[in-house]
Amino acid sequence: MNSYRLIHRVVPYQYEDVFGFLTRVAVRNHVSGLEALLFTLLGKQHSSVLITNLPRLAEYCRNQPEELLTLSGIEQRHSNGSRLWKVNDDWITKSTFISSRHAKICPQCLHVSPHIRGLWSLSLYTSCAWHGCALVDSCPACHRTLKWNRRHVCQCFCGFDFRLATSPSSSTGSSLIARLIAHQTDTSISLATDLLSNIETERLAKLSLDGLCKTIWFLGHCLGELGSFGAGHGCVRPRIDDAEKIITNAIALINRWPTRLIDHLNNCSRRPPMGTAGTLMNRLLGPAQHYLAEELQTDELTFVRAVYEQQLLAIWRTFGRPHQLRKLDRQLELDLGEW
Amino acid sequence: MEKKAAALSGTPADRSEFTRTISISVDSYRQTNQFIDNLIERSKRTKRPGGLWILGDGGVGKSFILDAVYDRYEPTETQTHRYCPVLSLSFASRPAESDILLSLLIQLGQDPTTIRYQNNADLQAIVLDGLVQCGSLAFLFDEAHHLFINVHAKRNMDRLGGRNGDFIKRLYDESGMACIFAGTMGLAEFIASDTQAKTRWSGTIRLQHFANDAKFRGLLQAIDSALPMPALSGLATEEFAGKLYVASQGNFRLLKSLLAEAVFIASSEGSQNLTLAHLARAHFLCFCTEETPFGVSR
Repeated sequence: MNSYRLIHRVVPYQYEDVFGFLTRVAVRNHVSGLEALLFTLLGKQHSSVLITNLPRLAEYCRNQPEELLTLSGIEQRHSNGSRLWKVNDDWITKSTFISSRHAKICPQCLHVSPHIRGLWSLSLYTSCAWHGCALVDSCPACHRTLKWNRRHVCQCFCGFDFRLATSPSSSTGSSLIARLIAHQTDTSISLATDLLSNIETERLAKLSLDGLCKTIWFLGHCLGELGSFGAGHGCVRPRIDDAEKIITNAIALINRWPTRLIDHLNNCSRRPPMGTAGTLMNRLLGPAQHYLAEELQTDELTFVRAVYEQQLLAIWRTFGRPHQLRKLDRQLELDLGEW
Repeated sequence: MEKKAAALSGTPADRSEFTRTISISVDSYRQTNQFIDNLIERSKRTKRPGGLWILGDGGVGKSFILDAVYDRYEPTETQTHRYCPVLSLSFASRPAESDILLSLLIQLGQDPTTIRYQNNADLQAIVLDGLVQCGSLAFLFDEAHHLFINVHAKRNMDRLGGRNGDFIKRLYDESGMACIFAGTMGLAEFIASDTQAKTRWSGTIRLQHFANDAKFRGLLQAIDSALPMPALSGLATEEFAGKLYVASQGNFRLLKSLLAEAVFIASSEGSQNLTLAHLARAHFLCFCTEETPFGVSR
């Protein structure tokens, strides 16, 4: 760490991504790259900018510390080991929802103002809330995935200017979720949709950003993709295609709330349980059960928890009588024996 | 007077150092500073502010003048900006273009190891960008003869000016900053032979050693009142002035070195002023001779 500072001050945009901001700082000051700047600033190869780094960051980049507090993507670590990520004015509690290394852009937004929006680092934000187009995560010219540490925010390593890219159309589901996310800070964004009723949309709009992401993740991934993946898959940050599927699953369960969720849980309860140790309920709904207990305990998510737990109780009651699951178990054993 | 009062309360070493840096507004010093202030002022309103050549032998006060200018226009640092009105460069030998540019970048406050450039043109563009940002107005080049005179060059045309000369002219043209060069009298030949340099930086002042005359006594009187000693020593009197001239040969640097040592000795002893005995011992410490103009040093 030395006493040098940068010469040129770059003013951050509100809700700009911290790595995008540092990329602009590096370019303006002719620094060889984002990683070199992070190395100079933080002393080692850092994958995140902590809130405790902000005074040093502000000093080196000639910003006021309070200016940098408007940036997105800053991480906070607590002594109990929990981690939080700032996105716009909200805090995200799960690393799965932040994919700052999987860069995404909206060409039209870059055309309006060449800076990286903090929302683009959200895994479940796959469409532009302002332009209605899908976000782009690979270069239209060289077809390589966008690099988070590219030299210019608007330019690929191959030299292609992203502002010249055509914007692909987005699905209605991802467009709705993107608008719900953006609505948290820009209430002028319309939430009108044919996918959900007004009541369902308003319920989602009232959630915090973290609560909204957890709801979509729980319904779309934990329940929607139950049994599709092995253990540990929930830790993988979804790319755009994966996120689209999760969003589609989640919207399907939210639609006609809570009927479809109840139907889905009933269907899940009729499936053969996993052949692992644990209670029957854990073997049936393991990842969803675990996620609910760990992450969906806040008051704002009571509407999801209540439906899920009531239905679980109803399923449990059916287990008191001779249950078809037992027949299924036996049938499975029989099938395997024949195999 | 406030500075003198502060120095008087310091240690003998502090008082000695204060003596080395005393500014006395003799004619040449005042004239040079006035010219430089005007140059810097002109840099704010024109892209061709001009420049000044300060020529003279060693010890006549060239570097002292540049140091005083730098102190007057020292860099200031705020949370959001760095202001660097003058940039000072000094050379021990003939520098490369990149040495000059990197030195400038360091003075502007940026770590040169972090920047990306492929050649000197890139580096120059980065420095010029920084100069504008930091509100820079003038370059101070000390020991400028290393910049323009290359005694090792095989061709005559390279001995004076050469690549560095062309580079400094380009830097001046593109930055629009005043250039102040301080160097030995050898530079006079370069200035006379290079009309491009002479027309860009037309101001010239030649600093001379002092003659043993009334001006020298006036200088001694001013120094006497500025010395960090509780009482005057009478340096301008016949008893001291002639001996001080013999000891220093009218060279300002030698004179101040001698007086600084004498101040250290006198203040260490708790004396109220300088005496011939102090000066004799100081003379020995400066020149290693026991027979001194002030008497025998024991």
